[in-house]
Amino acid sequence: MGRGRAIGGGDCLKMTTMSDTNLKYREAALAASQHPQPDWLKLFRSRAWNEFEKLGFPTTQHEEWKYCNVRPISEGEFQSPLVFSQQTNGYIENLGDDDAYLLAFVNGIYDITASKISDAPVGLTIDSLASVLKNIPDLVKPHLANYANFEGEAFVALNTATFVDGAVVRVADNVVVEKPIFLVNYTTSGTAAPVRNLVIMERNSQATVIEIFLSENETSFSNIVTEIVVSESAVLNHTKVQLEGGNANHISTQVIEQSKSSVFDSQNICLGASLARTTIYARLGAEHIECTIDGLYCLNNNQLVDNHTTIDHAFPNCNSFELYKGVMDEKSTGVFNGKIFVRQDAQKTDSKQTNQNLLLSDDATINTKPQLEIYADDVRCTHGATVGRLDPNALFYLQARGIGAEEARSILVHAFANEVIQRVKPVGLRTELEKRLYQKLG
Amino acid sequence: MSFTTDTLEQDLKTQEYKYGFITDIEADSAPPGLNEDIVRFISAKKNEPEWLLEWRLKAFAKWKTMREPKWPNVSYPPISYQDIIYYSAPKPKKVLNSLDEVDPELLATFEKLGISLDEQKRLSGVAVDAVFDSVSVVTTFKEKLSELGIIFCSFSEAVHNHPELIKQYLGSVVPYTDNYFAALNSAVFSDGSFVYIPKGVRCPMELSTYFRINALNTGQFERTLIIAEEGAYVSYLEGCTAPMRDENQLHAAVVELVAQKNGTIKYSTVQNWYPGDKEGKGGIYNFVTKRGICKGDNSKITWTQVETGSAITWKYPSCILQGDNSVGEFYSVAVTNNMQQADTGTKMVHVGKNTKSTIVSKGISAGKGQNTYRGLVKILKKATNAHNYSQCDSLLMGDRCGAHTFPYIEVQNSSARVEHEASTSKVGEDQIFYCNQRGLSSEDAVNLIVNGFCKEVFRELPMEFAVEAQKLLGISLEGSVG
Amino acid sequence: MLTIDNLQAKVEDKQILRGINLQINPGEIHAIMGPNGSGKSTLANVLAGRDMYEVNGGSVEFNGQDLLDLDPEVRAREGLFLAFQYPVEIPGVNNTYFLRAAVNAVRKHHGEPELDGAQFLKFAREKAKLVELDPTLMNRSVNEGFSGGEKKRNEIFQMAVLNPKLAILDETDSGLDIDALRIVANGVNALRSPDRSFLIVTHYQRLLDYIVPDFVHVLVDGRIVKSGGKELALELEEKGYAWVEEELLAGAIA
Repeated sequence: MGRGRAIGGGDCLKMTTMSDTNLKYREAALAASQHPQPDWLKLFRSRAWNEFEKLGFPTTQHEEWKYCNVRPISEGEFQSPLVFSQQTNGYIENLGDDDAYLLAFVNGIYDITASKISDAPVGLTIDSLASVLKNIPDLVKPHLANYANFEGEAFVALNTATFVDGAVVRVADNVVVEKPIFLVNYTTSGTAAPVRNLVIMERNSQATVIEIFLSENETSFSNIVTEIVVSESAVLNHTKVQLEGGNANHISTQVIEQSKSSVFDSQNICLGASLARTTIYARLGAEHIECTIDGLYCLNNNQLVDNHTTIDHAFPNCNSFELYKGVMDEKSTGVFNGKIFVRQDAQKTDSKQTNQNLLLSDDATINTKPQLEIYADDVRCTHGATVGRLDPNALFYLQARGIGAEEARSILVHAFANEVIQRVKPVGLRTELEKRLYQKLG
Repeated sequence: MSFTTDTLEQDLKTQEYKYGFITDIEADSAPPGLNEDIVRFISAKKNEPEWLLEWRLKAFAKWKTMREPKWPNVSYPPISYQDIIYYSAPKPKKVLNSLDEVDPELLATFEKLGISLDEQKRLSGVAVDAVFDSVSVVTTFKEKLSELGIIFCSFSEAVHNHPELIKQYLGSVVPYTDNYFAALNSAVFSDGSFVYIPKGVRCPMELSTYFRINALNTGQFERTLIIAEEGAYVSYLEGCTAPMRDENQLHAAVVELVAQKNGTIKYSTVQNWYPGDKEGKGGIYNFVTKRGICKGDNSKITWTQVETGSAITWKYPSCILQGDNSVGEFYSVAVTNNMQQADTGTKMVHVGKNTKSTIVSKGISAGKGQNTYRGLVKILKKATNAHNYSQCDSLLMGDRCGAHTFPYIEVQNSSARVEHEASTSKVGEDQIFYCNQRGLSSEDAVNLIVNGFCKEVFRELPMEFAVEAQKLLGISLEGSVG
Repeated sequence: MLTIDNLQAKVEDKQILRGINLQINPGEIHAIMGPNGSGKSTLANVLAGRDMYEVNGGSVEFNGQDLLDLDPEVRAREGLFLAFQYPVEIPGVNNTYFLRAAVNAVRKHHGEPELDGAQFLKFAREKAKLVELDPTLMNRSVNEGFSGGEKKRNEIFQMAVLNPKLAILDETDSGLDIDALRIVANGVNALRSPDRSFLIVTHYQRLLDYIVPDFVHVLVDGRIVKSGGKELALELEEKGYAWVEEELLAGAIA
């Protein structure tokens, strides 16, 4: 990863023939570059825009987008979020934990009135990215756009060119943040909202960060890039919860850069949106790292949810674990594409990847592709994928104990899905997710 | 099924590729290069009917519009398709009426490869079709088989003697539009084997084709078509070798299998094309399309392959499970040593109800070898109660090799059960020491461990092939553990 | 039979054996006891030829040959057997098949004819009875999915089949319940003979209740610091290794 090659100077928002859609994004990119920000970022942005212009939105011809048709986005009509009517009242539903820090965003733009950060302790920076770029850009300079490579990645390029705001969380050396940190974004109907989050865990620090994505019910397009740095011996618990409305489009890219002896433990819960794609790339850039990436996707209606994960073992003696569970009902489609990459020097890698899927309807589809790409020899790597329906013996057993068929089914599906929910750290959020899972699965 | 350490040690002494000799025989060849005239030349050489020439020309036209696939996890310099000779045949001295009239040089070649074409000498009753460069030189046991109504002959012969069958089935499983190499093969294929087992007949012996590339700069493009009618059974074996040459040679074959109701086809391959030398010079590019269709209910197709040769292997023997209750199986051992690369696996497409597929893939990487399993399990909407079990294991020997697993699973029916497991591990030093402590040498220990790793696949091979495969594995991995 | 003279060995940069002297005559049973980390298992593995240890001093003579000069498989063929503390699993390799390959490698080494499948099976079944090995284990893969007790019993079974001159038992008692221990010990006792010697490496005295040794040696910090008869084991059990170490210390001060 890392910053791409420089392509000439700063003047790069060149005019070419573009679709109306692209013109709108171009306007957004121009507007984004007008905000107060350091020059190095402006340069990135212009390069990112060129890249996006070159790539366009991906099609299913692209191997990484084979099962993910983004036409609702590429052909959608979305407004730039720069002019939006603040309708923040009550959009942040109570997702549990009251005793937490909260940064709220509407369409990717900081909403100070809904946020709760006043009691942040020394050593914890939680702020809006726009404000950091204006006031203390050096805080983010070593990291921002340094991990999420936009070359060949249309959505990352688009985000980099157009984002205006987002969250910055930085935990200083040796600081342990007790309370969970919630980053909540709400996208309004008809909007294309870029969101840019950056989490920096300095040496030996610890924290729990939760990203929550909500939207109105009508169509919208949120395009998120989250960069996460976990420095030496730091521990980060990370949960991403995607609960957007039934017609929303959600594209998210998470890039994690881990250093020596660090721990990254994450859950990605995906219940909402009509089209949702989450790409996660974790680079294990030193020895003795532990990386856990778990996920749950529960789908119905016509939902299409695509989970792409890559765990890149670049150094010896690291462990990674991955458990993704999917429940597909009605006409929904689930996609799992997980890659474990073990480079030549990454001896003594221990990696386990599991993907389990339940199909509840004959109209539902699952496409799964668990991959191992291994260039070292002294490794222990396993992966497994299963697709199935509820075990008829278990169903019958419950029925034989007097439980109705519907309830028996519901119990078993919850038991299946709950394994991942139970790994979510904040208790209030966990309870809320259990409730939402019930609502969704009926 | 067993081998003694004694014979293994002897085999292991044969360090070089032992099939690497060149037969000095006069050949009838086309000039190098590919154009419509060459396609016509081949068709004319074979005295083909007009419809087949047209089919070839359509394939050639299609090929010109296609591009070589770049997605396999292999790399090689660009192939110059205009430098390849697309037709080469040992020059017949006259029309052959019996084995006695086959060029003794050719017979000696096959004897040297351990393939006796003399029916009297065959103990175990395996009927052989021997293909030398582009053409079939002889087929044994023909008469005996024909008493049962079984047709086992070269493809060219089938075109003349059974045109209605060829017309019906050619390209029915692998259409010429299927992929780049299938299109190329359809345009220029020169010969191959044809098998037809009539209704209710169980073929009493193993049928076998032995492929040998001899001539320089020659591509081998054979086509095999096997049809098992209702209730028929056949077990078919395929073996291949080539001389050691510094240039890469292209082998782009197409195999089509059709199993009708209650029909069973077992197709076994021991692929031992010349893999190139230690520095990766020379060797065969093995770009092959193999596909079977379980057309009728309760039909079954089993692919078993032991892939030790070739510089590059690109092949995915597949099953389309169309009939209800039909069964597809794929058992594979793929070895890459030195600079070899393999991207191989299978596709199981479940169309009918209660269809079942099993995939067992064992990849062994040594030296700088790169071994990729790529597979697709697809359960279509109407395939109620389909079941797949896949197991892909990789064994690594040495720290310069790679093992990769890319399974694609696509399920559109909720009653499906799909299980995929994969693991990657290395041959443990503790395992080797344990064997040493019991008196076994390190080479024997590695052979033991590797053969144990591959056991589930060898079990599926006919006995004679299984023994050969075990030996071959030992030779292929010679010197890979110090 | 075996003469160890000032043997020193290290792993990576850590010196573990610091000068071992030991003489084992035909028919004798020697026990090596010592606290964790004293070098007991290292000694067993060095004698068997494990290459992770580097011998950096001393010599070992085995039946008139320089043992350290031989490859591990040659040591095995010459009659040195190691019962592993952690027997290794070899998936897919049939136990009987494995052992026949081993027996034939040994026979060939001595210029004897190899056994065919039937001969070997008959021979192996007798030995299996001797160590009360469940015959179904013979048809499973080597140690794969065996319980701890089954693995140890399988080691003794292999020993019975391979008929070694010197058997080294590396903590064969660890992880065994009392019944399994008795079975293992019975197997060993059944194999006692005037021309076969044993070197039993153990942390606890308990195994020596069942296999009575002729000599007991205490290994501390890579050296044999005390030798005696079978009573020494009981004394150690009673007073603990600290006793020997204290005695050593006292000796050093005095």
